[in-house]
Amino acid sequence: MSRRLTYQGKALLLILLLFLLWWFLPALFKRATRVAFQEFQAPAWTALSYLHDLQDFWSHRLRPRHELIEAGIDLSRLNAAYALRNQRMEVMEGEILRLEAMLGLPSLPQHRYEVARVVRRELTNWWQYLVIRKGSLHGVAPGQAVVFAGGVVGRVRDVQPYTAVVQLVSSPDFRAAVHFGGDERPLEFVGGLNPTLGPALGTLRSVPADVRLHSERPLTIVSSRLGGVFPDGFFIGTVEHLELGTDGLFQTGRVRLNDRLLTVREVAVIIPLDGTTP
Amino acid sequence: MRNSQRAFSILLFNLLLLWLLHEANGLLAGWRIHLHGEVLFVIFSALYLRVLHGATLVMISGLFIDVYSPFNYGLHAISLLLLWTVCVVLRQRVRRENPRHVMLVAIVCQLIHLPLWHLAAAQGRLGEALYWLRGGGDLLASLLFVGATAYLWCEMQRLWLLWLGWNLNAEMHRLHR
Repeated sequence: MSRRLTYQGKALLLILLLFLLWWFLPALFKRATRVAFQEFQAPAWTALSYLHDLQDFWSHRLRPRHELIEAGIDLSRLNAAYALRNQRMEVMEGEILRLEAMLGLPSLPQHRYEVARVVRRELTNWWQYLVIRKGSLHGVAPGQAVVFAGGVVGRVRDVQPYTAVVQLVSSPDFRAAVHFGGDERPLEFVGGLNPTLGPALGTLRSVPADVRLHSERPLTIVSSRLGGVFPDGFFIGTVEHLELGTDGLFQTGRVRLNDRLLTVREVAVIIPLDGTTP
Repeated sequence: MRNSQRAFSILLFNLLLLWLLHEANGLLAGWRIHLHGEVLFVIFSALYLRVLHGATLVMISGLFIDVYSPFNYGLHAISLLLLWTVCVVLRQRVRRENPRHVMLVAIVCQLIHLPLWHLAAAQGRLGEALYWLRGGGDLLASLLFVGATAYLWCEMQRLWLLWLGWNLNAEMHRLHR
């Protein structure tokens, strides 16, 4: 019987068998396979990321000496400015603690930053994520916030010992509580519109009807601590468009995200100091 | 070395392709363009290898891609197997030595694969124009990419197997077993 089967017939039969096999395989086996494939791949991606670092190192080595000296001078200026800002921040933190004690307020959650390099990025129309070079061994856990110099990057979705997958703020299934800069009323942000050759966009919901756009003073969206994931005040994007909903009570808007978000190479994971995970 | 062992060396090419696509997409990220090269994972296995070797290779490659996907584990593997089946069915009608035929198979498969993925993975965004605009941009770029590289990619793998001592062009009749 099998001898009468054509090549195409054999292929269809085999596919059918493979589908049935995969369908009835126990979930534990599938999970084990996934972990095995992941553990097999992770060192290769990490090694490639180190190769990129090496490439950067040699490209800097080939630069003329005067360019490096100028960059060093710029960095020392920045360091001096940041040192001053740190001093000012310490004074302000002391003031906050004093006021909290005086007014009997609950203290703000404390956290540290774990800086990580981006190993790979997957930015499709269906999902947007980064893989970073820090994992559970460095204290990273699912649900933690990830930021960079330009604001919010996203949230940790999955963690392995040395790597973690970060769901980007531009991903269609990303949702977070946000508010306008200077206006504490909570809003809902949903990521996910990434047109070709255009800026990454997100959607803003539950905007009060009294909010208006000003051409000379753009509205910025920042993170809110309401969701329990992000600290307050990290930049997310600027509002481009607002439209009154059918109920007449709330508006929906379009948010333009930071252009640097999709080419970011270094991020920081916000790790709570009290050991809790969001 | 047996032919089955030689066939599985093609898995190295698929891993290389995974890395090359990742590098290319990293460069294109700033323009919000994503190249989909799924057809390149299956075309050589479908046009040149035996059924069992081809399907196993495609399944393993799909599971490699599935690792970081937020969808159910195995979805890419199944979609690649379906794509491979389409290629296998088309194999009867094409001459794999002809670059135009290989290019046509790659383009037809990509035209089937990507819109189906867009329909299946829309997550309630089927009515949004920007979703389809981005999908159209990705499809156009991917068609150009697979159309331009499919034949060369197959030839590279064929020459690799020839270097390993397996002349696929001389064993046409055996492949249909």
